[in-house]
Amino acid sequence: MQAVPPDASDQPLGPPHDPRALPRQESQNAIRTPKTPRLRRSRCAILLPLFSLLHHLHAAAATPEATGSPTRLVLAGVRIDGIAHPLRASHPVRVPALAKLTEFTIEPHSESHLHTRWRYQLEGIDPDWRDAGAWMRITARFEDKNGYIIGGEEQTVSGQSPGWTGDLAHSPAVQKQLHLEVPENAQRLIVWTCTSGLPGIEWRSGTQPPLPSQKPGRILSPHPTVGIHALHELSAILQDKRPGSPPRRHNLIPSEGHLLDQLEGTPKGWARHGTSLGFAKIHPRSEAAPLLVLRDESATSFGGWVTAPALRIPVENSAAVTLEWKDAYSIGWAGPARIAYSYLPAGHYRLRIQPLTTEGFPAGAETLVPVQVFPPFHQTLGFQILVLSLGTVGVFLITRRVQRRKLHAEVEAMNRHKALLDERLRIARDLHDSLGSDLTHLALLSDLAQRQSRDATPAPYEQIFESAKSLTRRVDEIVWALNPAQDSLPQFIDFIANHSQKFLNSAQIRCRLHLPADPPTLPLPSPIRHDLFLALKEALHNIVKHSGASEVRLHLEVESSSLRILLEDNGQGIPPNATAGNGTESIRSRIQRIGGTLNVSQPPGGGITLAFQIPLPPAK
Amino acid sequence: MTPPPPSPISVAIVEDDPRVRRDLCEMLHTADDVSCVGTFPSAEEALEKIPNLRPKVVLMDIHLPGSTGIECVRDLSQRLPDSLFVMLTSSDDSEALFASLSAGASGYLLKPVRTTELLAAVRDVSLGGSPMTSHIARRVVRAFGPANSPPPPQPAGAPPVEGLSEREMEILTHLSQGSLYKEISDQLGVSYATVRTHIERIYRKLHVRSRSQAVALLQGRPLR
Repeated sequence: MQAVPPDASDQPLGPPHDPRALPRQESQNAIRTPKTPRLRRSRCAILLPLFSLLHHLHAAAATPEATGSPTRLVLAGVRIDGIAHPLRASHPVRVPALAKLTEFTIEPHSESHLHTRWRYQLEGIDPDWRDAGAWMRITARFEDKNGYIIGGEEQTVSGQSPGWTGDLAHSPAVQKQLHLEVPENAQRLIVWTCTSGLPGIEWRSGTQPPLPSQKPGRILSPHPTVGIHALHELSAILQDKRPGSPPRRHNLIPSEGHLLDQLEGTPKGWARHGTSLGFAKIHPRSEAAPLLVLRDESATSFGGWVTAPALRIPVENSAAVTLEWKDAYSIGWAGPARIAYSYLPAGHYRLRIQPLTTEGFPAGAETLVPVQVFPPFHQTLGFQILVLSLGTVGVFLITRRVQRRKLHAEVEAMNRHKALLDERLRIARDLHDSLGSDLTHLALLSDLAQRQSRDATPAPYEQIFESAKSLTRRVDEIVWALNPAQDSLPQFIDFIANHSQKFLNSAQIRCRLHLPADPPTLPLPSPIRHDLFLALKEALHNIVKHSGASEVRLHLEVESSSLRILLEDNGQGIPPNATAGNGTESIRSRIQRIGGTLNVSQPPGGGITLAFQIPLPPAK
Repeated sequence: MTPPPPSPISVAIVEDDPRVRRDLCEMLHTADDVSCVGTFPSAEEALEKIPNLRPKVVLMDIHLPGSTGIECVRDLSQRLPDSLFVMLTSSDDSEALFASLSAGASGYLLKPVRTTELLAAVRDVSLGGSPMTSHIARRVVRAFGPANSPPPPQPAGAPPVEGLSEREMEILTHLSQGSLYKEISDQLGVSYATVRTHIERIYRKLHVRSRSQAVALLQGRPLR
């Protein structure tokens, strides 16, 4: 076992004197630095005001030893997750984020302080003082007829008894009990006390500079327990094997003995044991049996009381033994120790180390070492800002990407649409160009042939010419409707006016135009142009075919967001026997397809009026 | 019908399709007062050879491989101020026609054309008659702007451009609404010849205007 468990003490040091209430001479950053000069304690009182001033002047740069207060215990090393961590004087111990195990090695400043009892507290983590885990114990053992130990139990005692005053006679004692089953073949019960709760701890100095007397790996402190234990009124209650027999009580601390009025006295039936026999004392009492006292002042020795053979209790007829006693105590740790904390949360802490008297009272300046545990990266403000920023940037980028994709898709769709339109236009132009020459040739040829034939009936040549001519016009119209260069309102008005005039004039019908002088240059996409043109063309065709009109008026007006077209003829109107909507149904459906309306009426003067209302797309 | 002049009207043809070229030439030959003095398949060839021929009338196809008929007219009309240019086209595209007229053409014919129409047009134009259709009239009105409006700003040093007179604008407006020459002369109380003279003057102003502005009205715009 290499490390001393830091929380071995299950009993907090209940302070009758709150150590923190005492005036403290604090020594900052008592980290061992070999070159630090030390002043003797006696000079302290004289020099204190001066050093106090200097201390303030030098602030953190001044090492505590320089103020003249001897530091008995120092932080000699820190290991984080098993790896030695560099220590720097005047600097806090810096523990990286998410360290599993942080171990502080506390050592006496020099060998002369090896036996100084001390306690510690990591402020911010430990609610109270703690000691490094020493204890004393009371042991009961059964031996057989040959003197072999065949069973028994023990009870450990650690920390400080409640209401401890330091005065053995006046500190309240705690009632205790230990119940033992008597093993088979047990002959006698032996009882002893001991100041060493541990058989001996091997303490290694690790990577820190060892004390002058130590070498790493050597057993330094087999018996680090120091303190006082006072045992009152120890008795054994024997339960007979035969049922129904009353229990018998044996008082184990008699009032007679040797020199019972002195500390070095020995009650009858008891003997001293251990490496320091002097640790076992008595506390004389005038009218009662003395107390059995253990006073251990050494981190390297132990001692205790043990029942001599005369006081060994025969138990061969007993089924069970109950030991009863009272005790008052203050038990702590001396010498080096390693204290460990697992998973220290991020924060600023302070390790306090305080030297104590053997009785457990403050005995000098505390050693104070700031400890800073860094937060893991995800808890740092910088990281959170970074995450927030990255998140924002990420959201921004994703949004932009989505928008770009959308835009890209729109552009793609537009490009595809444009490519389609271009392709249609190209086909129409090719048709126009390749058909155009042939049709012209055909028409010209038919005209020439007609002249040369001198035929009385030139109708077939005339029909060929007219067919070729109308084919040429129709192909031209298709190209016009598909040409995006023609997609503005003035061009459309121009085209339909031209077409109406030519078409009607060829049928010997007068065409009157009422056109806006300067129509706005609004866009008029291909589908609207196409359907509107075909609708008008059909209307004109109907007039020529059915109306018998001699004159047609074409009114065109551009309103805020629509195109209004009136087509009036002076013909015979709708014949009475015509079916409803006859002739205008396909015109109406074309107009409705582009969101427009058609109103057919017969003015009193005769003829038919077609009123078209076409919504215009907004100007780009 | 005007009596035939002592010498036939010399006509040159610029047309890329050889059959149509031949047909047109043949059509011209059906009349004694018109003679076809040369046919050319491209603007480039026309520019090279027509100046030497000095024809009275040039029949110019708008849609030609290479340079367009419009560009060809613009060049030739500068070099041959006495020649008259009639455009031949199968597309009734008012912008292209207007550009041709601005470039120096005196009229146009829509393909296919009858022999009688062709000969009438040649004779008409050679006598100074420049027919103006309603839709070209509308385009001309747009080009000059409303009557009495100040002329558009001109480049410094350019000769001042004469705007249209009130009467000219009146005739153009009637024409653009679909009235015939005859109707216009009746309505305005002037002779048919006066209407024609006005139209001729409008053409001249249009040519001057387009030359002084030195802008190709169809620049960058695809021809059909």
